[in-house]
Amino acid sequence: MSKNKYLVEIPVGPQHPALHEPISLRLKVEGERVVQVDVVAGYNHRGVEWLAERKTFYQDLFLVARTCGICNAVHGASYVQAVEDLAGIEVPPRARYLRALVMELERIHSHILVLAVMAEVIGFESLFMLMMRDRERVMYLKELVTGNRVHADYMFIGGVRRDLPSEKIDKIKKNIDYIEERMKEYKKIWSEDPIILKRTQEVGVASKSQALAHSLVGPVARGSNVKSDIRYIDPYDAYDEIPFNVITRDEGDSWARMMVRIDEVFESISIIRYILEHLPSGPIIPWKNIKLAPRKFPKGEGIGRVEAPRGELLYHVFSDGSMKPYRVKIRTPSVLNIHNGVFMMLDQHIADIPVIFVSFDPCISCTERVTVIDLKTNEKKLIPWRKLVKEKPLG
Amino acid sequence: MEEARKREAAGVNNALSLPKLLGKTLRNLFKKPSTVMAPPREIKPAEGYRGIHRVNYDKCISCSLCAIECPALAIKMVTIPETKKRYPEIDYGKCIFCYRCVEVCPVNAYEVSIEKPAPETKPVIVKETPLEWYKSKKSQQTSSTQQSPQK
Repeated sequence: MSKNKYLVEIPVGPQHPALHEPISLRLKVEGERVVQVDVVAGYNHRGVEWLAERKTFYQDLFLVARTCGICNAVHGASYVQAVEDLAGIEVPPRARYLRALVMELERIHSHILVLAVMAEVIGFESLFMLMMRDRERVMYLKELVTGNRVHADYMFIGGVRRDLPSEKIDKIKKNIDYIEERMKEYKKIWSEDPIILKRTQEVGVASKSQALAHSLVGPVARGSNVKSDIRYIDPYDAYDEIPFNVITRDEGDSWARMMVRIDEVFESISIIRYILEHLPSGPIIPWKNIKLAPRKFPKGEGIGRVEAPRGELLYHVFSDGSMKPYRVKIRTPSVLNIHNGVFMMLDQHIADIPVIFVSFDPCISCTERVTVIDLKTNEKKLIPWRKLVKEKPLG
Repeated sequence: MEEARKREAAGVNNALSLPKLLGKTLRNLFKKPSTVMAPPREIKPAEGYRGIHRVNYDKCISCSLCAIECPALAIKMVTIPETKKRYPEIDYGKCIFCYRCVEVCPVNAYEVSIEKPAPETKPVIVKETPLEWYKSKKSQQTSSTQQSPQK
């Protein structure tokens, strides 16, 4: 960079028409070219991990699901996996299949949502409206299976909270057929429409070696031909018995990431069909009644990891033998993808920044949970929200 | 990238070619809207929806397990001064409708419905409180005892 050129800083967010969630990107631009990007997070901090230490294991079931609104069932599944690992509880086969069913429904609606949001960011509002309309069918199915269209609260330590009656299976099959038919049409649009191709192809390219070096996860990594899928690498629940393919593409651009998501929707639909046909009979929890679940868990620690719609999600639960967990550590995929994926935005035009950012499928509420960093003293420490408010009152 | 180049050669990836969704968008102009009006036509929830739930105080044994387990701290145990018994009162504004209380109740005193919680624009539905329940029960008892000797 020569000395006679100016660098202009453009703040994108936290409230910005192109980004739908509260995160701030400080772009340093030279003309139209982005030279440096600083990610400023922290606008959505709620202290979930701190709160999880002050509630019982069963209350945490509902708290961790509220870390993220879109992938709440996978958060619950990961947490119960960690607690089961800690207590050595065996999950009945029917519950393992039902968990996989709900997580796949969630993957479908999450992928359709980000595809719709991407269409809106590109400026293709009619596609956004149509995709959101068809997403409602998936939300209905989730409501039918779990009892609520957004917050499933379906997972329970040792199994699931409610059974799937056989009359609901036909309804699911009927709606899944409709969604598959619609998604075929959308795949055609996404792979042929000139507006989408011009805006997303060869924008924000990450090669395989770059994706590995920056430890990207989920569809972002799979778009760069990295075969990273926890369902495949480290099968949990019923995924060791269900046949499925890991979708990868080798282009590595924003378009490839979106196409990976479209193909994963078809893969999820085939997984759901397999589950509904091969659903084993039997109990859904290891105890006679859900009321007989143990109140306390032994001393120790457990790990649960699942493939969330956005990538690898990890829970680490410590117990000191009481009713409350000693520590609940959450590592979400969006933390890695947002902060480490910034290198893709360099040397791009300003207009392409929202497209690249949305192609990561950023989930801000997942990103901001616990660490408060004191910038003045450069110390990283955990400060509870109430204490923070007491020490530094607003105004 | 190869696919893109092939398409470029075939003339598909041309900005001047017709948008694929245009026909569908025009056809949708003459169709009924997919959305529904919010207040007059409410969408019926699916079977098994976690809706408004209430306590059957006649069944309740005052164990306060629901108040202990509630993740949102929405259940408060209210003491009735005359009998010194404690009954749960649900704050529907705080309630997250997880149905943990329905699950843990040892005598299944909670009655469930698929009725949707009121939207924010309406006042929060407050079902029968323990004190109201006790008053109505007492008045019923007294009226029945008054009526029976006359017969």
